[in-house]
Amino acid sequence: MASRKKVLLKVIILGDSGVGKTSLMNQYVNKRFSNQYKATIGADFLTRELVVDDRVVTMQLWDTAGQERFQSLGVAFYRGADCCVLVYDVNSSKSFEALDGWRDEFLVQASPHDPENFPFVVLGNKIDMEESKRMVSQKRAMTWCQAKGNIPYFETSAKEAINVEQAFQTIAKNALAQEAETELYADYPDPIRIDSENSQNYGCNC
Amino acid sequence: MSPHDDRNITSVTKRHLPPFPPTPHRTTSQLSTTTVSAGRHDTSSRKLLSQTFDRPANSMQRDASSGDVDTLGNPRSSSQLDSRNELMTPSSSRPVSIRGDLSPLSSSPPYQLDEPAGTSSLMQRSTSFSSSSSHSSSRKGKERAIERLEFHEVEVSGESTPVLPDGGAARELRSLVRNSTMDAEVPSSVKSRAASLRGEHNPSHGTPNRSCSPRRYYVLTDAGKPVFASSEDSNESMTSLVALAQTLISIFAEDDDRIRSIIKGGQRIAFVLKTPLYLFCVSDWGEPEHVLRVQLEYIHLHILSVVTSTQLSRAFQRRSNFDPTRLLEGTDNFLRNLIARSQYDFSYLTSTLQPLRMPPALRDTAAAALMPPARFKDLLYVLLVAGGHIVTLLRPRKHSIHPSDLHLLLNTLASSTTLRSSETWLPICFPKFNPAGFVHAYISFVLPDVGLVFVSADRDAFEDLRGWKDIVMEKLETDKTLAKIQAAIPQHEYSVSAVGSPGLRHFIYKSRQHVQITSPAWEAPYDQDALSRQRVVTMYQRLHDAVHSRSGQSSPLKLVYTKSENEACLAWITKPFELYITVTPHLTKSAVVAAANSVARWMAGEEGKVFLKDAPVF
Repeated sequence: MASRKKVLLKVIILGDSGVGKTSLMNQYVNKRFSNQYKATIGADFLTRELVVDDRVVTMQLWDTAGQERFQSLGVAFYRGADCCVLVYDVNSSKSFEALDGWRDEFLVQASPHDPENFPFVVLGNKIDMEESKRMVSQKRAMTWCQAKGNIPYFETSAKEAINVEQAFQTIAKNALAQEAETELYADYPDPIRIDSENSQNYGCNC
Repeated sequence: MSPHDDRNITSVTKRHLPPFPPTPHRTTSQLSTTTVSAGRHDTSSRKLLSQTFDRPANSMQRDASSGDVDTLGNPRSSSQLDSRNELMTPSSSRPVSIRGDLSPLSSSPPYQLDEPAGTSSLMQRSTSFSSSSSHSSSRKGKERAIERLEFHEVEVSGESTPVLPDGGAARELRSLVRNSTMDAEVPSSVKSRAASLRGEHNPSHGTPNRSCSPRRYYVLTDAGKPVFASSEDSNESMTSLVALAQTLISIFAEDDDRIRSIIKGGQRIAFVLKTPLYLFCVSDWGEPEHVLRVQLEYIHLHILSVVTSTQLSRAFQRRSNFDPTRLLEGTDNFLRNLIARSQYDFSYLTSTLQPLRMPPALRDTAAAALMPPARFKDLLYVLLVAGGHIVTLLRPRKHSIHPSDLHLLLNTLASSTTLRSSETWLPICFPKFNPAGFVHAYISFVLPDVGLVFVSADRDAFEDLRGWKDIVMEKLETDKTLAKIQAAIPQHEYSVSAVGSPGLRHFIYKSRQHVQITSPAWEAPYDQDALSRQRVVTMYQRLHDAVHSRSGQSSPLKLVYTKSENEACLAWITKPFELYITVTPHLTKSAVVAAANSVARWMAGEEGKVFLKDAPVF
């Protein structure tokens, strides 16, 4: 299987503003972190190659704007996603409670052919902050993930690079598993009838 | 400071781009000019800043590529023929006109360009090619172009209603572009181009040193996944690039508009949207937009010849994240070859054939040998191909063949050594014939460069057709027909000197009746370097654009003359033919006209050899 052509996975990252979507991506792709907050406007793209089960996979990461006023990309943006990453901030209940909305938004906009089994991954970010600030317990998050069809859950820190590699590795793996399920079907197209009425003339008299 | 900032934002955007422009419709920036056009033509234009798709180093000045264009026969013009950079100005010099009845297809003697003559009834208007594209805005002309570069405006023009009415999307677009990971090299190239333009208030036209980069073609799915790239981009940059392209396309799509092209400095990015596939091309050659669109359409058709449009749309209906690259595995080579061929070959742009040049009697003999027996019910086309050109083509009475389907077949044959070295039964879709399914081609190269192709709708006809081939071969070998055809291959090319017109360097002659073209081999100075050939081909494309008013000109021109320091070109369109000639720049206008006339006269005697005129039907 190693000789198979490279696979491209379109991965959409969703979540409230300020939960660290861009930071997670930057940590994963560029191994960098900045404390400075800069709102993403519209969308941003990053690419990283990785190897999953001996297959070279190119991840095309679509970072989105969390702030509502910058969201207007709509259907085209979600179309054809292979995996959706939902991010919240473990120190903000509001961002956790918003996950339902983000998940629904994605399923409505992307309308994947098998919504029950579409691969999601949930990331609880900013676990580097003091324990006293934590608002969402691991248990609460995992309960939610289980209720939504056993979504894999990771607690991450983009700042300290905790669990970021592992999370994205799982994202790629789950997306790839979906992809493998639908192998190329050998459907042979209907034969052409040339004696039908579609007799055309293009003006080529040769 | 996030990695984006130091890697991607140019110093220019940092300094001159407030995060929210004072007005959504107008932003000035330094050092960049970008025009985005969508929809039909410019009814609105907005200013918006963006920097994208740029490349380092070899940027060109579009101004430098454009020649002066005028209609011959303009009674107010011609004295300035020999001075560069100016449209012809009024003078007392004699006008030129075309005389002749435009109605009959085969006028004899051939059409005559007369000089001098009476009135210039066919003169339509004059056109000046300049840096602002004909769709970009109402402001045209070189002065305006320079001015624009000095004011550093960036424009976006859409179809009808304002495309980005509230400015919100405009901000997004800007940010997308700013955030994208691909334009890391922008600053230096933009700066150097701007600097060179500032010092060049009177840009020289047709500068021989102007270098164009190979055009870059991309195909992506409507989800933004890469399908094909003609260049050797790194995988990563291409993946981000096509995602950005998908986003740009969708910003327009959400307003029910279609992005057509972006003009950025000397570069044009043209889009063709064929859901579920999108295609775009980046070029700095200075050609009209529709040239790129035609090339992209050919790429799309070639993809459909491998995967029918029915198969493709079915796959995407099932899964919007479908990745067609595996379905298209092995076709990269075909697409690259197609692109290479379509760069200089005018038969793609004009959707015409260029048959093998050979004695008409030999062609007829071959056609007679290929007449199929009546029992082959599903036979569609019978072709004899030599040297990559059609020798003859037989078809059922009720079906004609679209030239672009033939181009796909010829390109497929040319791109695969396997097809030329063994008998093959190839399923192929002819999208113009029927985009929904495959026909089957029996392909057998009986000599290294001479092949028989029998196209049938019956997928089980292989053995029958193979049996018939032996009969055909027997006929072709009597009188050494096959050997004579092979001997004709090296005679296909001819020299422009055969016309015997001094100063004539090259021409393209299209028979409108036969939908075929012919042109002589490239000779000095055009055989030396690709650059001069690029220049002339681009000039031909502009003339073609003008005589067919492909860029929304109010009316097509019958006659167009253009001149640069390197050469002069003339396009002349009549009912039976279209003619494009290139002559030395020193020829007088009357000598240019004489050259055009002599080509038309000469062609009258050559048509039997260069065109496929009376192929039998069955």
